[in-house]
Amino acid sequence: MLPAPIPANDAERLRVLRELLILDTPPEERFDRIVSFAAEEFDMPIVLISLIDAQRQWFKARVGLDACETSREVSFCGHAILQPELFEVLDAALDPRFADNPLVTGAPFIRFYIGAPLALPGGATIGTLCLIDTKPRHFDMLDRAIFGTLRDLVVAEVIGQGEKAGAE
Amino acid sequence: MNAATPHGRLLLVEPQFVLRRTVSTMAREMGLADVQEATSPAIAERLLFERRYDALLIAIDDEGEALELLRRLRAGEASHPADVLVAATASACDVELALKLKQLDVCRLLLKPFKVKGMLEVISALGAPEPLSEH
Repeated sequence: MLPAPIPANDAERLRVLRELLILDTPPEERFDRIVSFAAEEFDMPIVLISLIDAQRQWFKARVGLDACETSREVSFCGHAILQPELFEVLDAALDPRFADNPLVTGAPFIRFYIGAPLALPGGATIGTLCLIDTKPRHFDMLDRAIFGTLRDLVVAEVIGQGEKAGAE
Repeated sequence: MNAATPHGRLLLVEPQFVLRRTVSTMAREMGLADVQEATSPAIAERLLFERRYDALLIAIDDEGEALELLRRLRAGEASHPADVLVAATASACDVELALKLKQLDVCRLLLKPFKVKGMLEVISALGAPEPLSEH
């Protein structure tokens, strides 16, 4: 297993994350509705808004998973925050980075993963919106575009520019 | 995905925020339409008064407000050309609703559970052949 790498800017990234005062806060409908929507839209059993803290990933919103956090080391999202694009693992059981990951060999038995980095306007990537399935999946271009739009909705909510902006 | 040139102006009347915003954003980015959002038939009627649209995609609510708006629109009581293309979404459809929608000249009905892809297909099918006139 390849442990989630620590980005060079992690201290600054963590500072931004903690200034948001979002870690360990109660569930909020504005985030819950996005993960619920994503689960239905993509027929995904697990959807998470994962925030990458120093030693853990903590879930601000979740569908299909009882745990509210896991260690950062085993997290897929810890990998996803390293790149600006979507991070996709088509079949974790066949991927040497993840095949012996305890989240693959045990519950929740991840096979497919796709994570959209939550990059804030200042540049810090605080976590991901991610989709997980227990079987290999394929995401086409339109799926990816829709997923990216949902990610943008999460970022808008995080920075306080959510539903109140744009609609009548 | 880069934004493309939209084909026409569409009014999307949908109360659910995540669905509404995702569909409108995607439709704009794909160049399917210049989408304006309304959260309710009442707000939609005000927008119809203020601007002219090529098409309307409206969620049929249980209270009958959407059907009343469509009735007023088709009757020429909504300060908007009555012949605008209309498609609808609904949680269910019985014979009574189907007949009403037919009378109101609703050209497409999308029943739940539907996906963003399905709504984009409807918007694409509604695509006006010519850009909006200057109104």
